[in-house]
Amino acid sequence: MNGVNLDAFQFDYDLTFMSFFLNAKGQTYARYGGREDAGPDTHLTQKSLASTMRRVLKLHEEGAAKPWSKYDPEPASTSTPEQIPPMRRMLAKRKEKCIHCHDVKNAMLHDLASHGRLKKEMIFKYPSPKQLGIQLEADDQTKVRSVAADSAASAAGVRRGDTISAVDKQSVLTFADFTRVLEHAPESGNVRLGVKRRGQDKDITIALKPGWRRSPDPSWRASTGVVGPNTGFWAKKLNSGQKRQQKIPPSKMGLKVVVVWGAWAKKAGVRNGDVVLGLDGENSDMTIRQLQTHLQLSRNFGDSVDVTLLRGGKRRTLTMHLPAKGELD
Amino acid sequence: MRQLSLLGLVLVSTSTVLAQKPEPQRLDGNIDWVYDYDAGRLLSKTTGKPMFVVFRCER
Repeated sequence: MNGVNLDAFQFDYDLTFMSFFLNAKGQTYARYGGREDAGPDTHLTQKSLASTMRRVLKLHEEGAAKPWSKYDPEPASTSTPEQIPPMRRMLAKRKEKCIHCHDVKNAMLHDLASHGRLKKEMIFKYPSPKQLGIQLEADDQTKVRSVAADSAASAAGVRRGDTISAVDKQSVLTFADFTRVLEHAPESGNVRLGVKRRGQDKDITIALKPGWRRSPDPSWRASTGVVGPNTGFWAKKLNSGQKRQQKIPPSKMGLKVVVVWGAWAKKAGVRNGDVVLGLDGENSDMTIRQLQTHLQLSRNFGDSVDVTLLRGGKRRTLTMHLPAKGELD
Repeated sequence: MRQLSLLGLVLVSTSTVLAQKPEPQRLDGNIDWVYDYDAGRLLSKTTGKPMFVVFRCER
């Protein structure tokens, strides 16, 4: 991302692949890429990419560039990652000079933190339509594959097999187009879908529930590390046989500590080989990355939390005093 | 019908802002990727082709 115009290329910088179809003026025909909790490539398929390319070429040939809208990037300004003050400090501290996408988001969040404007919810950028209850087909990303029961989309009347042509009056060709519009959607209010069902055009209004952007498992997001403290140790999830041996139920946490790097964890007495059974009241089965994310989203720098662990067959509870501030604060 | 195609751009490093900027890793294959956005836009203008701009993690 070194030197990239961030105003022209706005996307969820936590991800690993993103692309844009543009005309020479920089107007967007479509976005392709993006990700959701389920995995990095749930919406990356050769078929959907080829079909998006065909649709873009048709739009281009028809001269159908859209008029500028709030969903298009700002063409005039040119801010680059290097202009975000924390980015310079991040680069100065490491050998790697390549600016990754997630570095950009982290720097932006650090910058907001330095101005006292950071909120934990800010990691949930470019929400997936799944947050409304809509699962799109991977190969044809205008088609609804399923609608979650009891979801906002279900309540509004979105059905499996519907073709979504527009979101808030913005035409959408892909999952990434949909997330772009949702990025601009309010915290509470409505999102309007233009839908085709059995040849009929329909308008469907989806009411946004409070906290609708917050996805269930954001542990893939590197940016969670900016909004809260980490555990100070890394651990491997026990397999079912190892859990049985330790008499840990399958649905409960069993994480064997392999590295302790945080001074707060060392001071609390966490050691390599300990099996973590719970942290701060959370004891369900999860990976260390999910546990880190849980802590980062539920606790603040400077808080104290209890860690329950198994050492030599005996349970013990230690108290960790988490660091007072993040690395770049 | 006129045969249209896309211009492929991979944006990993386009600026002279950072003295220590890394060089992009060139991609193999049948596509002649352009690694500079301004050059890509100029090419898009002169050829009349739309751009396919890709951001990928290369390291």
